[in-house]
Amino acid sequence: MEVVAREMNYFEILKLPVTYDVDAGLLTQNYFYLLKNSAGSVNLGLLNEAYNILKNDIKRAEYFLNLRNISTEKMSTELSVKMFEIREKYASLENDEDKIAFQNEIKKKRNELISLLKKNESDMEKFSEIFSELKFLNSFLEKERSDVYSRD
Amino acid sequence: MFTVGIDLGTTASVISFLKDGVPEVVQIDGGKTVPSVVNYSENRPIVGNEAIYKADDVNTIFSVKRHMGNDEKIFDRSPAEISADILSYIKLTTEMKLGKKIDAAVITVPAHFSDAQRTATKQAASIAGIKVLRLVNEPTAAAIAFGLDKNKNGVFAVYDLGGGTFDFSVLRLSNGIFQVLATGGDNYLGGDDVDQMILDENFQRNNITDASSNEKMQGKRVAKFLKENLVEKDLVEKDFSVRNKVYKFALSRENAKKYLKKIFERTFLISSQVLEDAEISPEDLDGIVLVGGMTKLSFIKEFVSGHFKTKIFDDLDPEKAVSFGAAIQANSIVENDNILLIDVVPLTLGIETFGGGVDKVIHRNTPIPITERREYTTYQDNQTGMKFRVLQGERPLADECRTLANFELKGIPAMPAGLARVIVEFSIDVNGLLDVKAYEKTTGISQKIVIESSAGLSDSDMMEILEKAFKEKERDQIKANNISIKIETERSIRFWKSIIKEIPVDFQKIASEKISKLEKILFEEKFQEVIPVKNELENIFGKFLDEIINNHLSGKKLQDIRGV
Repeated sequence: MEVVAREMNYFEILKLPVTYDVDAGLLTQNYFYLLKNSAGSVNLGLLNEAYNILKNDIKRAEYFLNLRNISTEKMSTELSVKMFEIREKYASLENDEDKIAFQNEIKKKRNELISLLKKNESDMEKFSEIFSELKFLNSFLEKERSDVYSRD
Repeated sequence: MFTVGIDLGTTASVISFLKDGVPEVVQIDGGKTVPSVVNYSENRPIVGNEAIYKADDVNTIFSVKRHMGNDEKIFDRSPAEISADILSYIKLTTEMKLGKKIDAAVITVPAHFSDAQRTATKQAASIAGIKVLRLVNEPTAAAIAFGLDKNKNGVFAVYDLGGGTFDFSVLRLSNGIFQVLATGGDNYLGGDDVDQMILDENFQRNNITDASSNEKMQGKRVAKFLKENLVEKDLVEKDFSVRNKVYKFALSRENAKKYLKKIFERTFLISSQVLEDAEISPEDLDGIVLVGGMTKLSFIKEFVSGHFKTKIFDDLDPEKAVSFGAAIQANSIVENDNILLIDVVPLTLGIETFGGGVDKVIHRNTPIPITERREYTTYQDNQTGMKFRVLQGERPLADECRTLANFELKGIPAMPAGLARVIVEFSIDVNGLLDVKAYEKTTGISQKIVIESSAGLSDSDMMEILEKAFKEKERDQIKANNISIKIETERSIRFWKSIIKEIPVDFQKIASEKISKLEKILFEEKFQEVIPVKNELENIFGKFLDEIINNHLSGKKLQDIRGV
């Protein structure tokens, strides 16, 4: 993702402190307040952009790293192996029930990593390491659930 | 400024406006809804009930909405032009009835409508001379009507199951703010599927293998009839003839439940995904609003409340709710009041990557308006052009998604591979319409792509149609005055005379008296007296119209009924 240089970052736009651990209630409250009370003075597109990134735990983490000019692309060998194992295991599952159970396990793991991120925002190296794994698990889940809708 | 909300539906359309802050449906032809049917057997299009009544297979189009955004012509007209005829009719009749011109409108579209379908809808409106304030998603409009009516705050889901489509949306309502959190659905799931299952069962049980396509269509209507009449009964039956042999078609409660369960299970699968997208767990829902024809069935509450275990709101009139929400939203936009609507992108938009994958640029359920960018680079030395394919859909492979556009950025200055910085920018406006821009960052070479996709009308087509409409504007303006009243009323009289024998005898006398009175008024050109008498007649005929049209459609020969 490319972060375009702006005068205000997304946290500032939504009048929040620049911390990963965002108070979701406050985020929505501020978003609604700005929507209602700053007609014309705030670019609605920009406000949506900021809200959309900050409300999502994964996009927010990536943005948080980008703000600090830390790459989100790098990956350790250890993680590559882990990813490979997960894909292999999933591919070996035959019935839907097992697949769903496996997905739920990954979901649980994903949520654990998110809580872990919140606890490690002062240690950027750790934060970035957790994020790499989180990003992988998330894209794995995204891919597996794109089948439910049929819109064409 | 006079604004309206229009629910441009697949089978029927509804128009509403705000009267002292309260939404009200404009009664057209004595009914709440205008069938979305157009007949082209005369030099002017005939719309609504009269078109159904005329229904000659060669000149009548039903459900044009299903063709919106397709690159096809029906009776030499694009789907947008046919929809425009429906909109024109609704507009002119409303203006005549209320005695004032419509300045602007909010028109609703299904949440899952693609870019091409939205563009076609906007084109239809502009051909009909309607200024569109905004296109609003149908479930969102229903939620607005619901939220304002009930003055609710909280997180609600809209469960919309119609004849052919299912939509599920999750919204947060907070003091006049309507925030769509997520939306999803299936374009081929609904009552039609149940009808088909009922039909298959009956054909099978009766060993019918040689039904003609027309008989199959009639059979589906019988199936629908059985489904709708299975209220508090264990079995419904109806005679049905195939190749002059009469069979007994039946539907048991048990089978109906079995078929409906299949449909509901699929809706629940979709719902749980939408809830997950919205990051809402089912127990956090403050209620579910039921919309759509199928939700009127007796089983539905049982299934839905059994599944979600939350409060069910089913007292919204599904026929009116969507247009009510649209009317409220239209008024809110021009009055700049405190109702605020945040909708989302229904389908993911992306760019094809090397190797046929998809780089998702704007994910579904992103709030709109929104702009997102991606940066790409050249993969060969001295590469001067880059091709892009804009995609819509959730599938991981480009070929499985819908292609919205192909374009090429040319004139990239020669440099080593990997040095050019090409930015692709996707912008979605409040109507859900996409705009794509591409530029090379180091040199500033840019290209703006108007997404016309392969469907919809091209700019030159659009100019031609608008020019034609402009030439006819004179005629349209006249329509608003006496001559149009005369023409429209004469047509109504002709229609009433053709169906008068089909209404109960008690009403025939009074109707024919009123018709004579109306003819006299027209003859004496006392145009200001037309509308009240016309309204009375519309009310009389309106009571029986559904039944007459139904009889007509289920294949009875009119001559038999009329004894002509």
